[in-house]
Amino acid sequence: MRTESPHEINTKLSPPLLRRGRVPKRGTSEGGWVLAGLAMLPTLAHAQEKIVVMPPSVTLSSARDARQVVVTGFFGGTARDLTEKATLTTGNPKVARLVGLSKIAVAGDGKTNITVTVGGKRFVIPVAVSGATKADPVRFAFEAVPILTKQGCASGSCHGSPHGKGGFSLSLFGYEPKIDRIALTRDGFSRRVNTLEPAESLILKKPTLAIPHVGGKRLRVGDARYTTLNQWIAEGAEVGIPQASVTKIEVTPGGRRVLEAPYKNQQLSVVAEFTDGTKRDVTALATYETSHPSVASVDADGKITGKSRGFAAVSVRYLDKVQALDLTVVEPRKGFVWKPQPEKNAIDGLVNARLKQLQCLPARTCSDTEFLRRVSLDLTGLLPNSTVTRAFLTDTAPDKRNKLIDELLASEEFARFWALKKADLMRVSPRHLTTEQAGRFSRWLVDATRANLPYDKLAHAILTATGSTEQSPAASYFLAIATPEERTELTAQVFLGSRIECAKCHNHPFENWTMRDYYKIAAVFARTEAKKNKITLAATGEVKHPTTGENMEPWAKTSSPTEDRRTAFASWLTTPQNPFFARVEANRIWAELTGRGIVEPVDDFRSSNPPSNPQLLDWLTQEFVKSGFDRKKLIRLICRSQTYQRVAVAPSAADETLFSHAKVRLLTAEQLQDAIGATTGTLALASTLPSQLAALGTQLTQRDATLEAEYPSWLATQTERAKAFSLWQSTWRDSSTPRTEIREGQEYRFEETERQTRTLTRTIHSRTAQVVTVMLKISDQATLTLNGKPLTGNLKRTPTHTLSLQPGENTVELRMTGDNLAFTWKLEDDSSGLSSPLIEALRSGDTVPVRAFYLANDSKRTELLRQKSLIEDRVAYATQRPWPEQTAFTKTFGQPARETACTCERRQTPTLLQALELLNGKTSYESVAAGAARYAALTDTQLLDELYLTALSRFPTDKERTIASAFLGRPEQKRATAVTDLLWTVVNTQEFLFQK
Amino acid sequence: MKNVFRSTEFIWYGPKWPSCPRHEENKTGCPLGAFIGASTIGAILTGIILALPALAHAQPVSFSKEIAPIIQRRCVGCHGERTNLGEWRAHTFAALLKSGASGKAMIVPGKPEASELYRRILTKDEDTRMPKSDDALDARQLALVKRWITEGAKFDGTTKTTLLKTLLGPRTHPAAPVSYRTPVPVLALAFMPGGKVLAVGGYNEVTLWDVETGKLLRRIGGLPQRIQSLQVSREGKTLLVGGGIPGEYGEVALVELATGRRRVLDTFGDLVLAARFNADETRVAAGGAEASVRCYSVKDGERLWSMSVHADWVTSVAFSGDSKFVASASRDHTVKVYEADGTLYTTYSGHNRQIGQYKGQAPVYGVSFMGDTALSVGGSKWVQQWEPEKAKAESGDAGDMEERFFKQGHARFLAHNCQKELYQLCLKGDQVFTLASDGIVKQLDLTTQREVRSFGQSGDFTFCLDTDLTAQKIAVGGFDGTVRIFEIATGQQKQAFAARPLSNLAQRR
Repeated sequence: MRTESPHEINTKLSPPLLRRGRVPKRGTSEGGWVLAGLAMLPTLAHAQEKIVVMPPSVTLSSARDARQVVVTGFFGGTARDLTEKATLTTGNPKVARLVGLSKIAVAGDGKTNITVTVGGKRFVIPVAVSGATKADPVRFAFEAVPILTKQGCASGSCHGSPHGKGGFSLSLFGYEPKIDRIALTRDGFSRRVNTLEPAESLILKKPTLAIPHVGGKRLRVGDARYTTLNQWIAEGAEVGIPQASVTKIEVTPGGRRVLEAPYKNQQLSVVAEFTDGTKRDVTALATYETSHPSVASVDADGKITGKSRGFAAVSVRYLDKVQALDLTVVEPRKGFVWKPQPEKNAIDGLVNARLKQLQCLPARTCSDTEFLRRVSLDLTGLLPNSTVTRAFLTDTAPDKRNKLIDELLASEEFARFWALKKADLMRVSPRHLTTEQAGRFSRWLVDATRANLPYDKLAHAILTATGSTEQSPAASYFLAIATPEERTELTAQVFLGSRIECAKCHNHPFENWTMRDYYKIAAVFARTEAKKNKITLAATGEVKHPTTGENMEPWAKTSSPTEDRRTAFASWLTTPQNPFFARVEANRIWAELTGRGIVEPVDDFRSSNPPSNPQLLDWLTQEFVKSGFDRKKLIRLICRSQTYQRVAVAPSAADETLFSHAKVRLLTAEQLQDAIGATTGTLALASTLPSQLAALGTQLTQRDATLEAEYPSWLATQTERAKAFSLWQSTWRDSSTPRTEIREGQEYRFEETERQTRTLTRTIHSRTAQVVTVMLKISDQATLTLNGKPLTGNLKRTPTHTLSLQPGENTVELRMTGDNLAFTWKLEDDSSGLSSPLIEALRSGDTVPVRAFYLANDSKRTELLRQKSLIEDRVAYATQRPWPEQTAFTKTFGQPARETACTCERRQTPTLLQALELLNGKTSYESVAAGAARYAALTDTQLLDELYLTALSRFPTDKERTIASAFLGRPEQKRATAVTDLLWTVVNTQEFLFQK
Repeated sequence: MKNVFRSTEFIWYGPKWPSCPRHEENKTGCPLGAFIGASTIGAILTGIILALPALAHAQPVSFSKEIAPIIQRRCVGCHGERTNLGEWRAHTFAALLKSGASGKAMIVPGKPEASELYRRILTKDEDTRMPKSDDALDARQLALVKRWITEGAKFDGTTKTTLLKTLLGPRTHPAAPVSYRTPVPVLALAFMPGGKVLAVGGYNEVTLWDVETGKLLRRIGGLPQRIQSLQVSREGKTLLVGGGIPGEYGEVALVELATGRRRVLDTFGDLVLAARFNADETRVAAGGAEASVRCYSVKDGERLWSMSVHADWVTSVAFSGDSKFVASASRDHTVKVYEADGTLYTTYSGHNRQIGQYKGQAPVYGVSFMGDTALSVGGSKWVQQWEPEKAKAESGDAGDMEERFFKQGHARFLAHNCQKELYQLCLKGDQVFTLASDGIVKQLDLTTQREVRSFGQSGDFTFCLDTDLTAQKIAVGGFDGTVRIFEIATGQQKQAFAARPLSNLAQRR
């Protein structure tokens, strides 16, 4: 049996799907339409207007098998469900019979045709029936369980809850047949089923309300589900353990559908395929759920009814398989006329197409003031200062908005503010990390954002980070969370936009992620060990499936058993074809800029949560992938669109999901704190970063210039020294990896404290044959071999040993066994005086490490860098710190504590406490008081201009000027008090608190 | 016609299949019930009723006989004691007269069109028509309701606050199936005096079997669908039967073995799970899934008292030897003890212990008296023996009561070492017999506190147990419909037979 794929529906029809019957003459066809009540059906005038009958042929192989027929007409690109309008007749009622209007069921073995008459055309579905006389008992797992799930019996709020309801407890969604067997047939003194008179069974009488049932009516006597349960009981209510399982379900139609009034119905057909190769129509057994019940509803037999204009997803679930259909319901709005709209780029075209389809008008383009304030807050988290604002407002260049976007994208503030957003999700917080680790990770995120590290590389780097956080700051991602399960949930939410925690305990009813998926991802992180300050890879470590107990294969196959499982996973994740990765990030960026995701919430991608504009999300994803995961480029694209630059007032009926207008948003906690600081002048003014930082920057530049000038002579000296060696040593290697952190003459302690064996090797280059003394202190048992020969004597007892070196290369191998391993190595006669890493770099002629070594060894520069990072971590502006402090103020305004990877942790609902905090909270009170002094020195006109430009990115209006001047000039109060009050008033205006 | 449904009256049914009051007056023929038993399809029943000629009503419509069944079946699911959609309830006559959320008069006597109840079942508007999202009432039912309101909407029961389902009175039960198509779980059994004949609960009947041969001797029909409790009087003349229909009906009745006549003592809103005589057989106590415990006088059938103090099913009842106490065990983890007049004497919480060596929370399935002590079993790991008087003295619910009792020797815990819950308890002298849900019977000696013998092997669910010391036999019945007979002295299984009538040779007497 063939099934149409969404692409075939929406773009091109493949000929075999179309079964054309004899086309009757025009006159008769019209007569047929009238009879069928089809007066509204347009004529099939053009060749591209087609009717498709699914399935094209039917094979039924057991007594209770059946197939739902779906008839679709295509008229000028839109599909219409004609199933209800079609008339089905059977060629031989002894072979195939019809159930309801459009379902083919078994009558007896043989072959026949079902004739479908619709719109004056006839289509023939060949039907072959076999096995009609064989017993076809109800299979508990494939029929009774889906029914108990579908009718809600086994749901978490009813009998599927841990303690059941009313003394009757089923397993959740029927995943424990053993529990259900007892509960249904034996428990409660066997009161629930009656095999002698099935209709007398409590489990049929209660849900049909033949006797009172707290859970209400769940079944109707005589419908398909009732009949199936009834038969199951009559056959002895056996609960066998299933031998097969479901491999997939086919939903017809799938993909996307537009239901245009008056054709607002859509019949679905659901066919399940089992591991034993059999197929069954499960349309009556599948569970249907609609994301927006006010837009579309689905009845128990899979018939969708469009209710009102909008979009919705219909999820179809059969056992653990889920498929979704994205629906758009289109209804004419009275008096609606679409007007051509200004479009700046492709985004506008896609947004407007959706608006036009759902009959909403887009808003006009916003003013310069609105744009400046909006784009500054969105890209940097900060208000534009008065100088920038004056310049922008007076600039007459036609491309000034684009220029501003580019300037902001290139700013340091952008890098810091957008790194904060990522740091929020990755739990960069001293609650989970040390302050040093949190600092390193957040600086790494800032650097990555500043350098516009492609998003796939960023994800790859984070997910495969290994080593200490000094070497690999992103390793903190894994340090912040300990268990493979937590890492699974965090990674899924951040990078896959999926909340998969439900799948930890059970297959989710409307989720594509199963329990097996969950533990396969967990297996990816089974060998990633977090130790104090370091991420290491263990050679072993598995994750077990909690119910089956089997060791789970990792999600993505590794090329060899020793390969880091995370590398394979990261590669799978970041391929352009990954259905989630680019899409989730494109949607996140869209949501950051417009205040709402195309899929909302942004980290809850699932088939039952449809995008409000699928084409737009598809396109953004495609652009993002095409650009090489360039986040800045996507941000630029969105900011340049007319959609982004719309006013916040909806011109037509309320639309909150289609981006017809900008969304009014309360500034975030950090933005608001900074805005108050900037307006009142209580945060540094000259630059957005404190002047100290600027000063340090200058000093650093100077120092770098000096170092640059001194470099050639330093290099010459060092090269000379490296050449004139009598002997030099390479760095220690641990299975061929250089270990530069092991310093000559300093004790080295391995981080792993459990018992282990370590083998370290290094090469000693000697100009001549010579005997040297080595000082070696070892914590435990060890052997030392030189050029393959072991040294005699007890290494632990005597600290000094003599080594007889041959000219050229000598290989030293140090093998230690014990717990808490540590050792110190010092070669007395190392005459070069250069450290091993440097000398290695010098001799290899590799200039990059040499230069790095040169810079790193400059103590003055190191000190400057240290000071800079200290200040960077404590920048006064909260939006500029990837790791902002939590204050009473920021907490009140919803700053997340970084406990979860959910964007919902940043609360956006207004509270009474916020109002109080702004009216007379410490932050606003102190800032306003301090800021008043700064403004008081200005004349009234200067003061008002400066205040309005800083706080609201505009000049005051004439009316505001008049009122404010009168207020400032009142004789009965001091000017300072008046300025304080004015400042307080502006800070408490909605225009200040909200971004529109 | 004499009102045979008044619950205070006795109802004697003759040896003939009882006639159905509704049809008797029209001579349309009975037994309709026999037809149901054979057909099994509810839809056909509806069809038959619809096909009947319009019934000419000579008498006024009876609320309790004609209207209450319709309301109970079609309305109470949503408008009942526990759910009251639209803020309207219809579980009692008094309740259904009150207005719901709309404030409209539900019933205006004499004016069906002004009655919201009638308007809502009559309307063609699917959004407001009742029963909601269900089939409408049929024309006959609508006509009955209309006529009842036109005639003044009179109440012909005794108490307006009685639950409608109770108001309906004892049911006329359908005939037992001639032959059982599938095995039916054996939920109750009892030895006849002498131990040669075993009474077994069947489907709408009690069957009598020859213990030796496993042959069906006799079928006693006209009884509830499920028989959950059986006790034979000492002389072997009367059967005390408890049972009903799950979720909707319970019945406790006395059946004269000589005639097969049923005398219904009382009906309940759900299954009767336990019914027991006192020692001199002057009284009967019964309880079940409705969670109430009731006591009756055998002589005149008077209900002496009724107590609803359990929070869950009553699974077992027992009289003390001197009839001073009645005890009831419940799934609510307690045993309640009542005085002869029904006053709650004490609550034993020994199966719901939070602390100490014997802690655990478990339902109780069996209770029995032995002298001044009571024994109880259930989901816990022990057979618990305790003294009601001490429990009373300690006011019954002190958390550490059991520890103190135990130390003082007032409570004893006899480990039964069964892996499953104990469903039945049977006392004979100082020998205790218990049945676990997996079919294992244990004989425990109270004097020595030791296990004497174990009978049977762990298998599918079993529900009932009886022992007979004369014949030295144990009988066990379970889910698979099989009865197993063991010999007490040896522990050996002597007989196993499917308690499943398969032909119509055995006649109803």
